[in-house]
Amino acid sequence: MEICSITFLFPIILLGTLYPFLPSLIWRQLALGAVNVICISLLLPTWSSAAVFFFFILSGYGVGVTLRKHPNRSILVGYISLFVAAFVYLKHYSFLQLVFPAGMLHSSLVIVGLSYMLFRQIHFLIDQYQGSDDPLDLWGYLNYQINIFSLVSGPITRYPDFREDWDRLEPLWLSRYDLLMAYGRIWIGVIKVMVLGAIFYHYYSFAAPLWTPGAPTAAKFHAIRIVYLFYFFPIYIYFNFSGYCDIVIGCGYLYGLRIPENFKTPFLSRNMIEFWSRWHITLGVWIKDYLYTPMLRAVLTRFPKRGGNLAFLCYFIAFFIAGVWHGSTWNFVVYGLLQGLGVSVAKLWEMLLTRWLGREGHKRYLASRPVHWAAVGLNFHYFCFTCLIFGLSFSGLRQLGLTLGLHW
Amino acid sequence: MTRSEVQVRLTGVFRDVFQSPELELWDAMAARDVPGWDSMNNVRLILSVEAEFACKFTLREIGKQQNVGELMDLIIKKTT
Repeated sequence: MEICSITFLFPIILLGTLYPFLPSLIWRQLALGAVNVICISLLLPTWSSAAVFFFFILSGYGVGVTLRKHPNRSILVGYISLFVAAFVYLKHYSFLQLVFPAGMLHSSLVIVGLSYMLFRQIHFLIDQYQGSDDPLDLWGYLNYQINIFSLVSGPITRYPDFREDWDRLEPLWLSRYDLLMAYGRIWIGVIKVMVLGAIFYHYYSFAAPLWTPGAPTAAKFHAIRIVYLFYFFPIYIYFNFSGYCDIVIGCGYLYGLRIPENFKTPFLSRNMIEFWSRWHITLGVWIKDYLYTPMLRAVLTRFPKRGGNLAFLCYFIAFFIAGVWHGSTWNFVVYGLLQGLGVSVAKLWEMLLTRWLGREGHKRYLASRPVHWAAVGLNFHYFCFTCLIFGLSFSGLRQLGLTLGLHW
Repeated sequence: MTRSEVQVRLTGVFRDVFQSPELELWDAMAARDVPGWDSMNNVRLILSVEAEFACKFTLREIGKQQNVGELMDLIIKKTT
């Protein structure tokens, strides 16, 4: 089931438009619940996948209820550790092959949306452990986890925000203008995915096979193909992912769900720290709230004098993990390292500039337009470079290096 | 504790963390208004506020704060 397909969009938009005419909250919750259940049943390929999927969700709910009544650090850490271990196993992370024999790693289970479920589950459990007064019941929680508008590829919704909408479920459109805006958002998303993203992907896929393992020899240098490879893949990802988000935000609007924004002109960021607050925003904010902040808090509590230096390490670890989460092969380890490096260097540069120029001088530096556009250009190229690692295999990268005259 | 009492003590914390003796707080004041208020100093600020007001913030509370006014409201809620 494709989110851009007529078979998905037509019934979803039709029901969403008729939604306000349902007589009460119960009916609206039942309708949205039915949409979620039907969609998830189409997305789970086998009964065993469905069993594991619901085991993750229900066990998380059970642990959440327990933590709310009896906040116990061992239960929280134990459950999250097991969940992360299961995630790593089911995603077939390459580094497992270094530790376990191949026979142990075979698994045919396909769990849709597992990556995003991991984030939702961790934040939900930490909030329960630290004391949450949000309403909690199985039906609401189940719909939070299987909500079709954030299940497959995000955005990462937070339980309190979902819950606030779920307990009301009043369509957010009050006038014909609002309704047209929601349709427009969905339509813009479809254009981004089906037209703009498809065009950029077409040209990228025209160039990329020349630098894949199957290619007989290193391709000859063609500037235009290098351009396709270097620039068009990140632009394709942007149109594809932000278009998808436009569609689910627009659809959610029809049903009374405020799906969070996930993109804000990311290619205009002047460094990687800013980039992660404008690209996949809900991931960047999640990483800041649930990885970076607790890590730095622990470091500053133990080493109050050296905390500033260790903050780079926290940045690095947090965004390294964010990078590795994107995929299971070694490429993504390198991708994660480059993300960690990008944010750490940006932070270090900012601190050095403040030291050299003083606060007023740093302000003037930030206000300079030539410096701003140079930084934006540099950052965009750095991100494109990280996407090369994202899109090509190691042998493909090696062949690309040969094409460019780099021999290693 | 009254809001003005919280503001006086919080101003001292901000001046100390951001090393800015002239700093004055207002409700809508946010990170963009204070030089050096980045994610690292935000954690420093939170630790100092927790020490000053003898309270502890959850990760969700830390993440939700948008400006000084919201932080003051949270301190009042936590300490009363």
